Amino acid sequence: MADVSDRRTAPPHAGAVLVSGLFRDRYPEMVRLADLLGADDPEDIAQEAFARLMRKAGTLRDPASAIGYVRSTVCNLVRNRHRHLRVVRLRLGSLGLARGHDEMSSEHAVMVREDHRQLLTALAALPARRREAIVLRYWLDLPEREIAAAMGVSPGTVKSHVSRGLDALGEALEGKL
Amino acid sequence: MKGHPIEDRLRDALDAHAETFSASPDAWQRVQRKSEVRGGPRRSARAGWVARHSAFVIPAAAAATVAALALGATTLAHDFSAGRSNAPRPATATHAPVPAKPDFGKIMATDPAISAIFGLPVTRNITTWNWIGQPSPEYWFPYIATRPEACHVVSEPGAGDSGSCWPVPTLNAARPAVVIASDYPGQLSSLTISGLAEPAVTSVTEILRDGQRISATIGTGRGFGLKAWSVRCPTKNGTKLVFAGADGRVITTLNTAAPAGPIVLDVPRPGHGGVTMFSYPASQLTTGAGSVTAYLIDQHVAFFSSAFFRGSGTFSPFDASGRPAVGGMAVPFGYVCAPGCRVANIKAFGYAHGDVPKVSVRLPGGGQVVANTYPAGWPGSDLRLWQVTLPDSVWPANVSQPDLIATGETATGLPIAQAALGQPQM
Repeated sequence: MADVSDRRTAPPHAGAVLVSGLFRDRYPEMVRLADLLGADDPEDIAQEAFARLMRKAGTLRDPASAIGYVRSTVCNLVRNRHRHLRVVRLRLGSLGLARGHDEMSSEHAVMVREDHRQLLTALAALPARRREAIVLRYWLDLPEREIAAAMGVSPGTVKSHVSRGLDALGEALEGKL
Repeated sequence: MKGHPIEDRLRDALDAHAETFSASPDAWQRVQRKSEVRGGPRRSARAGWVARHSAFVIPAAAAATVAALALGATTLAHDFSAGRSNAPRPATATHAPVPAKPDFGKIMATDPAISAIFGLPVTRNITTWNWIGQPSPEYWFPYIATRPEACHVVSEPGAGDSGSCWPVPTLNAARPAVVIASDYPGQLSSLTISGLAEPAVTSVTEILRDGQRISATIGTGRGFGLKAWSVRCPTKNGTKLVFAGADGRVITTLNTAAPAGPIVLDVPRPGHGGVTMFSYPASQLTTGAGSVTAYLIDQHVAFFSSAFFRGSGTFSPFDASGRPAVGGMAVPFGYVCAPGCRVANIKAFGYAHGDVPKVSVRLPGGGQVVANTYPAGWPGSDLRLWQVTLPDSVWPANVSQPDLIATGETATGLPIAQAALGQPQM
């Protein structure tokens, strides 16, 4: 049965080994990605993405594509969960910005933290797609083609989202410098 | 911060924020729990892995699928005797009406129907449902070919469902019919064989070794293209299938050997009679430390382990009632990265008949390891068990499943039986 033998993939065990290795190496990164994209429960998002990869472990032919799949799944899951939110709110808490009374070691450190806070606040206020493009571009440093694959859009659309996202961030920060 | 380009500031802010996170200590366990397939309301469907298709067995009952093609257990003998009117008279078919379609659960999500879904009544209680499915990009990687697949589910209310999807085979004059799978929808002693045939085939008759004839049900649905057929097989010793056209002429015959090798079976763990074979520590491959315990269930040796996240923890049971006199599997229980990652703590284990005192496992590249078998101690059975640790080198990182042969030997080293060590079908 040539048809079936051509389609035979690695047995489940090899797939599970691949997924567990990928999890060990990249899980924290995926949690951070989910959080930067605005997930209210980034660990749950990342775990769900790896679980979906696990279910497909037996069909993995190109292990190098696996992280792309996980990344894309994280983006989709965050986006889908946002759609269910009835109230859009600025999640300062989820961005870890509500630091309370931190010890400030220097005036410079205070300024750096404030700058970060303003930027991340402005980022959280961006539409989901622009936020995705910005995070994938400036935190993961992905090339356009990989951002497009993760977001399920064309590279041209990625460029547009990044450009407009940066413009929006710049406008949000205008006057606060 | 004036004067810094926003992009650099953005990178700094994102990096700084990302450093605030760390993973929960039980994150991996949560992933494993999430990855267990959740089925429809009537039953839980569990995905088995046999070649590149979806095979589902139901934990609530002893339902099992033997994918004949993947295991190579079915020998196909073509007797293309077109022109001879020697088609056997089909046995009288007393098929019950087709019941209402059940909830197919996960298999319909992974391979949604693009043809009509039609049922073939196999017996009064067993129905085989068939459709052409299109692998869903929601579940399968995009780079997997999107060829349609022939799907079937054998359903027995109150007992369980099992089924699978296979790429639609090319049928022609040289190969007018194929066996797709063997399913055990309720009991290990029952077996339903299913397959596909060219539209010209109008009847399928199963002829047992004692001459008994059983008529298969055959039919098709809108958009299915081929014909699907299913027949109950009361024996595990193999049968002959005769495919004939409307004029009674035999189009082809197929001989099926007894399904051999591991089958996917999800049975409840028996409350007694277990033989603990060995223990293993926690690792990245296991849900925690545990042990492998063997049971004898209806002439099948079943190995239970909580190591892996799927199902009830059953490895594929082996039919130990006939040949071969030895069987087993090789399973890694550990994982090391030093440097580069590979599996470790590889155990070969299995069963042997009462007249097999030793089992040797031939290693790739030469050499062997030898295990002494020991009595399992099951009442009324002389079956023996064996296990041995294999060197990590038998399973390099770039090998999905090493070729390992177990040989049952006499006390003086003469070979009695041989079997390839299988992979766990969970």
